[in-house]
Amino acid sequence: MVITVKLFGNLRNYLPEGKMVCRTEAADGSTVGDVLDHFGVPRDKPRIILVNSYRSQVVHVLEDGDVLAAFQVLPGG
Amino acid sequence: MTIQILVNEREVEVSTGITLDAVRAAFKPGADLLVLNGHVGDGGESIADGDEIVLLQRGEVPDAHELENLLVARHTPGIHGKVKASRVGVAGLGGLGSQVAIAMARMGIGRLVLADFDVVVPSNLNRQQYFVDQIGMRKVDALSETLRRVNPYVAIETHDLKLAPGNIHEVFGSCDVLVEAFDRADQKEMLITTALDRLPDTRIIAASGLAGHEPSETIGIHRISPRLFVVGDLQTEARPGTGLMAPRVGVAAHTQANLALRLLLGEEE
Repeated sequence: MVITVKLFGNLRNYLPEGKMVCRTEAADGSTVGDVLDHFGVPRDKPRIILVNSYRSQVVHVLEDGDVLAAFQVLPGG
Repeated sequence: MTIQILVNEREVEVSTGITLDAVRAAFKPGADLLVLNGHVGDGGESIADGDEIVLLQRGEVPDAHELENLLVARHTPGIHGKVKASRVGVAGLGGLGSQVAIAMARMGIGRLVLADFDVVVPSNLNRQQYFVDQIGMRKVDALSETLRRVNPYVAIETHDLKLAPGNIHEVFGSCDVLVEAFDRADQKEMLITTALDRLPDTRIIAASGLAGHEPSETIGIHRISPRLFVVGDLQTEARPGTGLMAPRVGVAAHTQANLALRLLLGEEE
C-alpha cells in the first residue's frame, strides 16, 4: 500500500532530502509506528499525529491511500 | 455648493466655506478637541472637500453605537458583521494569549472566551500584555480590565481554572476558533488533542517554536489539517539561552490573530 507522509518542522529532517512530504510504500497492516520507524523518527518525538486529518496514535493500522501527518509540540508561549 | 468630508469616520455633506468650528457646532457641539487631517485645530480653519475631521470630548467614552460605526467604517459592514457574530476562545493568557485577546477586542470580535489559572508576576512583563500595577492579579481579571479599556463592548467570558480534558469542551464548546496559547509543551499537546477529539466544529490555531530572535519571516503557518493550524517555526523551543522575547512572541501572536480573522471571514482553507 502507498501512504503519504507529512512531517512538519524538525521532523521533516527524517524524510528523504529533508522534504516535508513524501509518498512511501508500506506493507499491508503497517501501523503509524511502523512507518515512523521506517524513517528513523524516534517514537518519543512526535507529539501530535493525524491520519486523514483525524487524531491518531502509533498503534493505528494504516490503509492504502492514508495521509499521515505529524509534528512536535515545543514549549514557549 | 457643497463638499464631502469625513466627520468621525462618517461621510457627510456640508456647505463650501464652512469652518472647523461650524462643523463642531453641527455635529458635536460638546467637542473640545478638534482634529483636522491629523492635526489639532483651533476651530478657525476652512474646510475643504475630502477633509477628515475627528471631533472629541476629552474623557468621553464612545458609546457602543459610535464605536461600532467606527469599526464598520474601518472594516466595511460585511467584515464587521462576520467579526461581530464570531466567538474566539483563547487558552492561556500569557505572551501569546494576552496579545491575541487584545487584537480580537480591538477589531470588535463578538465574544471572547478566555481561560487561565495563573496570576501576573514580574517575569511576565517582558512579553505579556500586563502592567506593573497588575502584578498579583489573576490573569483573567487583569486582562479583562485591559480589554474593557480597549473596547468596552466586547462580550468577555472568563474561566479562572486549569484547563484539562474534562473541562475543555464545557469552556470552549461554543467557539468558532480556538487559539492555543500555552507555554508548556505538555499543556499544548493536551489542548490540541482534546480539541481535535471533542470540538469537531472548532478550528484550532496552535503555536510551536517561537523563542529567541530568529528572523520574523521564520514564523510560519503550518496547515496540519483543514481545522488544525500551527503558527511558529516548529523548531525553536524555549530553553535556557533561548528565551521568549516580546518581538518574536508578538509576531507569532499576531500571526495567530490574523489567521483567526481570516478563518472567521472564510478566507483561509
